[in-house]
Amino acid sequence: MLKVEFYGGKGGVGKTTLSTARAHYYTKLGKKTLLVSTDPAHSISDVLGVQVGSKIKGITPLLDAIEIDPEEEANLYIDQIRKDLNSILSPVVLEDVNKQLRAAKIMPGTHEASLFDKMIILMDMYKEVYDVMIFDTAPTGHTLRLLTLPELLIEWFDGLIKKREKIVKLKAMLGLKDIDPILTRLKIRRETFLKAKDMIRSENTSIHLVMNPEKMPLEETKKAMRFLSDANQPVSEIIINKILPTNIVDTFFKNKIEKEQEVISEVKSLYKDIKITEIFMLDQDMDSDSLNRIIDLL
Amino acid sequence: MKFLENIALFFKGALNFNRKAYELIEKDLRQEEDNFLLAARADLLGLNFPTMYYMLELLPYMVEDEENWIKRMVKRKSIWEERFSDLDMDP
Ligand SMILES: Nc1ncnc2c1ncn2[C@@H]1O[C@H](COP(=O)(O)OP(=O)(O)OP(=O)(O)O)[C@@H](O)[C@H]1O
Ligand SMILES: [Mg+2]
Repeated sequence: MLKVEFYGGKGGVGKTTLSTARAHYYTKLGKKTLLVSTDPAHSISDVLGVQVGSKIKGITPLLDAIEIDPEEEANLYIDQIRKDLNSILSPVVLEDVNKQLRAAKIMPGTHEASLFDKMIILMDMYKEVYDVMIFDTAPTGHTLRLLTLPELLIEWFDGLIKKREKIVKLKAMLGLKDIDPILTRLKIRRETFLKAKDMIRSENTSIHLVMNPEKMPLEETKKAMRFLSDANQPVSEIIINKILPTNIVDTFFKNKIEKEQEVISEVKSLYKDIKITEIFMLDQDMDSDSLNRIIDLL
Repeated sequence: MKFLENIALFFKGALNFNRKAYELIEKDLRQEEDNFLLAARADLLGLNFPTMYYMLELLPYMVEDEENWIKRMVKRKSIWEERFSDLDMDP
């Protein structure tokens, strides 16, 4: 059964570092793992030290990676529709529809939807191929918000399907054609979203929030926790990253260390049922050695 | 004689009724099609839901309905005429 993990959190807290480390962690357990970047400012290439791109790429025998390009996905989808239209429309109407399609490529919501589609396709198509799929998300809600998309879409599609069924029924009463390709497509889409909802809601899917041990990030994390719990999407783990080691004796850091420990205590007392993972601030730049040190802490 | 006349009248009435029913259903159909297009193309109303993305794939099937719809929207009067002709609103 495919295990799916989403890593979310504010900008720069360490999502990419930690999701990459987790991916390596699973491969060390012998699990075939796919690391997926959904952040347009892809940085898993940097951490992995390999240029990844929008096709699945082998990194190590057990680790593959991919950087989803929402723009490319949207273009593929829209260009296919354009091709379908080409064969049935008169040039005049076509020009008009083409204008709409070009606008659609940049309309609000397009890249969210194309990213969401690709995520669902990966989860569904490769569920037999991988043991674990790890999603490194873009800063703030965005991707996590996408997890609540199926509910919205199912509701919307249910409404449309009802309307369409009425039309089909009326047409049948008039003896007009009874197969309706629109109804068929609507139903196929609803099926996909139902499947997506099941996959996201599955107990094999988990959300991991990354934060740094400071007051502001704590508030952000509380907000994210509230949003996700309202959306019925429980968080499995909070990773507190870049914690100053407590054995520093320098007086300059003493105060800062105390403050950090206060935040950590608060997180622990607020979220007793959630796994809290503590990762220390490393004294060196991120390279394979420091990544290994983090993997050992996971 | 009376009997045959009655039968003739009966069928005439039935046919008339059928035509009337047909028109009513046609009118319903028009209305439902308008409703559907309006909902499916909610972007015209400024809703920027990702739903629009999924509506795009319906375009190849909707263009025909849509052309008629737009024509009818342009001739808006005809929509209201169609919809309200069965309501006796004349003074
Ligand atoms: N435990 C750590 N110790 C030291 N440096 C760290 C640690 N974790 C992450 N970093 C460094 O912090 C920076 C930000 O980390 P990373 O890119 O993983 O964050 P991110 O949350 O993915 O950022 P973004 O929101 O921009 O995607 C990087 O330079 C990384 O090397
Ligand atoms: Mg990142």
